[in-house]
Amino acid sequence: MRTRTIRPTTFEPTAFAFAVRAESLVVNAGRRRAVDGLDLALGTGVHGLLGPNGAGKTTLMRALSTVSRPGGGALELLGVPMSPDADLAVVRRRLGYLPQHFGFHPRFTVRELVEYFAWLKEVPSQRIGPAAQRAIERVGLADRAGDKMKTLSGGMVRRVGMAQAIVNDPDLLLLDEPTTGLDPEQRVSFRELLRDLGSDACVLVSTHLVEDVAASCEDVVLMESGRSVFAGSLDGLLAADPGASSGTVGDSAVERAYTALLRSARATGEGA
Amino acid sequence: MTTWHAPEALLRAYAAQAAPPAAAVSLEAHLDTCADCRARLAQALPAATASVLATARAGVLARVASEPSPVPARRWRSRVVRSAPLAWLLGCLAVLTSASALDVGSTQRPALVLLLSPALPLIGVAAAWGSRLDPYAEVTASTPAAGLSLLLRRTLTVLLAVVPVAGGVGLVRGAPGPGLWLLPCLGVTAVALALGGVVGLQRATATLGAAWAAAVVLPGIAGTGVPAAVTAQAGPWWAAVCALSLLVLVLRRSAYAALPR
Repeated sequence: MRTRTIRPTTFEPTAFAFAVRAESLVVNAGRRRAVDGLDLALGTGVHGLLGPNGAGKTTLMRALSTVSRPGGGALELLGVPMSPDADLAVVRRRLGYLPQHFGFHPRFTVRELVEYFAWLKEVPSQRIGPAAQRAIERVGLADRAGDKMKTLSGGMVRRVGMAQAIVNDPDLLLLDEPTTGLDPEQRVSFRELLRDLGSDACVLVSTHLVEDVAASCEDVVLMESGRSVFAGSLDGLLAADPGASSGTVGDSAVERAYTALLRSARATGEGA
Repeated sequence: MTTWHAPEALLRAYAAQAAPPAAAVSLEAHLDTCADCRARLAQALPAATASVLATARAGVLARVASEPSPVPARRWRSRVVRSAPLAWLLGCLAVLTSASALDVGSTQRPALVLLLSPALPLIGVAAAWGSRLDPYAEVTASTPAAGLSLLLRRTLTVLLAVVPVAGGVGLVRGAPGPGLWLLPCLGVTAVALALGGVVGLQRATATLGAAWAAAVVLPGIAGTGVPAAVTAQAGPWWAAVCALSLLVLVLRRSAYAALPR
């Protein structure tokens, strides 16, 4: 059974066209320019962020989650420009972020951990308990809520990370490799949760699993060497599929389209 | 409160889903506030409807009973303090106790407790923001609580943990009172935070720790007299250092808004 909560903000007119808007965005990871002149505009819905290892997906996620500062270009999150003197707290209250590596204190229980993050996200104190309970239920861990983190499996830890990300009902949800460690059944229920979340929030899911994108994302952003080489609907991506007989690597249409787009981007990059 | 109650005929018509719409809406508004009429409506329900409602009620109650009740877990506040810093606090206690044990019977050099206490909070402060040791550093930096206030709150936790320990060990062992080491302790911590905004907190605490060891602890052990930094004369200087560092920290607070690259 799917439940939807209607929040007062659902009916408020938004003052921005896109939850994420980036123009010629540059983000450095150490000395490396991992995101290099990226243009991006994301609205409500589930967006897949695809790309090979080292394409700059995680660096982009860190900049969008306000964890690291952009090194150049323009970035606007939920209508707030990320200038050096921007009030980050306004954006952060409406943000959910699951980083690629989500560690844990072994002695925390699941509930304590999620409530701790609800507190960090400035959820009003009388709402912390119910908000944590609901987030834990949504990721399917209600029966383990009182258990310590050290007793959980890898996939469960990942789901706790997901619960802390959604505990404040974010308008912008950033998930970096959320399906790592989930078994096939969990992946299916996770996709269902994603579609539910995407109905009234902007959800960006970074992944290298092409089938995750095919199953749950309406839009796809394809990154290569710090730039976006494709941004559009899933159907638009599939239009790049050269067909099964073309000799392009990949078992499914999405995989072949992915490979074909990457190859043509690399060829253009070398030619330029 | 109203003295009006629904007539029996209306209740029966409503239960049989045969009441006129306007009367049904008005009755529902009344039922919201009148327990008596709700009870009478329950009596008037056809057997089939009553059994559906009873089944639904039993189902809901069974579902609620089968899931663990949402315990108001307020304990996490203490867990936050307990989880990481407990080992560190025990470490501090061990360092100070062994230092004071070495101090017994040695009058040639200044007390080790005095030399070490001011630098002890550095270890805890290093973990307060963006540390690799903190499994949540990355997520924490994306929350509205992140920034100078969280850093100061965590630093205060560290100080509240280490100062009583150092004071207690000093008191039991008869080492110099907190008058000599408390101001240096606050001063070193404040400098670490201010410097951390420029070069990163881990680098700042490591540098300061090494500088403290080289400039105060080693000369003190070598027996060249009490280092100037932990004498009563240094007090006003440390107060000035504290004030200046806090000023720098507030002016450069945006350095703690995001994680260093």
